[in-house]
Amino acid sequence: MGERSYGVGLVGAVPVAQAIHLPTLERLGDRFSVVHVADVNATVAQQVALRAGARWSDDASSLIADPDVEVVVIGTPDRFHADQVIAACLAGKAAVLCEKPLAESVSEANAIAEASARTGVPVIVGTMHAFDTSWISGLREWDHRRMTAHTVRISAVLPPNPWAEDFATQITGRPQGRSTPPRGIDPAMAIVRGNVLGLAIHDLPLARRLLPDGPVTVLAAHPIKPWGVEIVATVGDSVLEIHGSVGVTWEPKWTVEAISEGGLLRTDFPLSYVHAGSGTTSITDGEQTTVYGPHHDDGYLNEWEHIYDILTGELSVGDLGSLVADLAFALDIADQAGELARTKGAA
Amino acid sequence: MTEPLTLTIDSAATPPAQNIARATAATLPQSFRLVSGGGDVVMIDGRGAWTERSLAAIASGAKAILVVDPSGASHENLTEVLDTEVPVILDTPWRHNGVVSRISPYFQKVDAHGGMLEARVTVPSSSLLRESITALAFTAQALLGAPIIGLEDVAARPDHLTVFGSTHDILIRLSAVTGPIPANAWFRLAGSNAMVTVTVPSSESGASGVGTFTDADAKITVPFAFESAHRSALALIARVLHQRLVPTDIADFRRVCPDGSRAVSSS
Repeated sequence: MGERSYGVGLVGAVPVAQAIHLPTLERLGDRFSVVHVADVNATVAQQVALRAGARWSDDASSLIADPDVEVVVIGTPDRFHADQVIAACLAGKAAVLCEKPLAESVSEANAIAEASARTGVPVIVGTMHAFDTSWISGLREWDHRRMTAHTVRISAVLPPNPWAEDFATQITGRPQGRSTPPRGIDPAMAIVRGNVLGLAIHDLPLARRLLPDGPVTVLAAHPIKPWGVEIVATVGDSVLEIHGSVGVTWEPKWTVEAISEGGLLRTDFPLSYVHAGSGTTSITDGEQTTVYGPHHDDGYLNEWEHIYDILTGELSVGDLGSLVADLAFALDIADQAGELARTKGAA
Repeated sequence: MTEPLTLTIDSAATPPAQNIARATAATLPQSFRLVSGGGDVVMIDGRGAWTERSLAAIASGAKAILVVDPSGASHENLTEVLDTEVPVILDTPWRHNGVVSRISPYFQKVDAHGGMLEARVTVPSSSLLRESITALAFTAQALLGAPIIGLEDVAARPDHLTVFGSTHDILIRLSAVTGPIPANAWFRLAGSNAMVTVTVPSSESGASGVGTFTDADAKITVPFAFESAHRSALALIARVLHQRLVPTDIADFRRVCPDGSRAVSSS
């Protein structure tokens, strides 16, 4: 049992909040309780709050001003992240969990880091795969063996989100997907950027962890149907392959792979939204394969346990330099790949 | 019972290639009988000047040619071989593994317009990257039942080679990297109605390939068959001669093989 329970406020009652955070927080009901739900759609806010036994509002500032909210979860569209995370920091909350990506630009991310450092409010990004126990164990062994990846592949072949959300909960007020990009945005660029910052963003911090430091050069970027992307980039002397694909009936496959002269690391992650335990990580060298996991707990649960450990002082929080670097890495790839797709499409 | 075909190993074949031929022929004793010269079928070592050796064997009366592990060749020479109209089977690492023909109808069921075929392999040595890409493309054509065109290097490093190409409506991504695992090739095609994947063991392995097709209704696994690609290729030669089949290996290979008579960017 937790020694005390922390009040959580959800900014944005979107499917991520309903299908991921509410069920996870129920599983950790001795440590957290949802006390406030805010959404610009008042009906959705009210309905989701009713489920959680929480109060509701239709703007983030009311939630952030609520003294019972100790942990703020930012699940709004990306363009609002920076302002809302900073506002939560300035309000002196105990912690902020922001869905990925942390911000829309590196300057915004730096402003968040500065606000976090100044106020002492820890900021966590909801990169659930980074909290996966099998991944953490495999990475530790990879590091121990001093492996250097010459190739890293991240690949997500997934069904559309609603398919997975419906396994996790019953969604209220599901937003309509955008079928065409906003006016003035090149369609190929929109697909490629959307894939990088909406799908690959889950695993780019993991890829960065496996790759050497070095300049990023995107060599190829192709939108693929029905909705996906194929990107090849170099990072220093290594190659990064990004594959994303979302379709109707496929068998989900979500993997991160690193290949070196001495061995291979591969993590197979479960479908998003559902609570299907951890991934499974294997390291294969010329002699044997070592497998880590699967474990009962999933990355979402570990993410919240990580927050609890921060709140109770079990874990110390460093600066946000690594999170800012993760975002800069993702934006660099998204910008280069988007531009490459646009110019190739125009040619 | 049909008389066994006679099989001659080309005198220029290296000891490893000779061993492959003997070991494979030993698994088809009712179909082939090794003879020292003048065989119906001549096995050529693909590591050497195999087009020239093939032409010489054909000129000497060979009814069919089996080329083990063909490396690159000039398109001019390939055309010369093609023009002889003598059946030639290219025993590349994966194409003639039985799982390829069993799963290819499922690849062709996928509505993949605008989609992408992924093909990957991990090989033990940098020197194998280029020919592995060619072998992947050669196999991909058999899976898709369509020619691949416009192959271009995207990332070429000492330990990594990625090449993009296309069919008339599918993007093709071929990737070969070095690493310490068996050289099993892996292919995946995802479309709007289904997804299909196949893992093809390295050519010397008798492990079964695994091919699966997944759509809204079910996941289908094609039958297992524990037959190496070398054995499948040699068995195919017998069927070609007995059933008067016309293999398209040389024409297909020419389409995806860098023209050895021209300068080719190297990893």
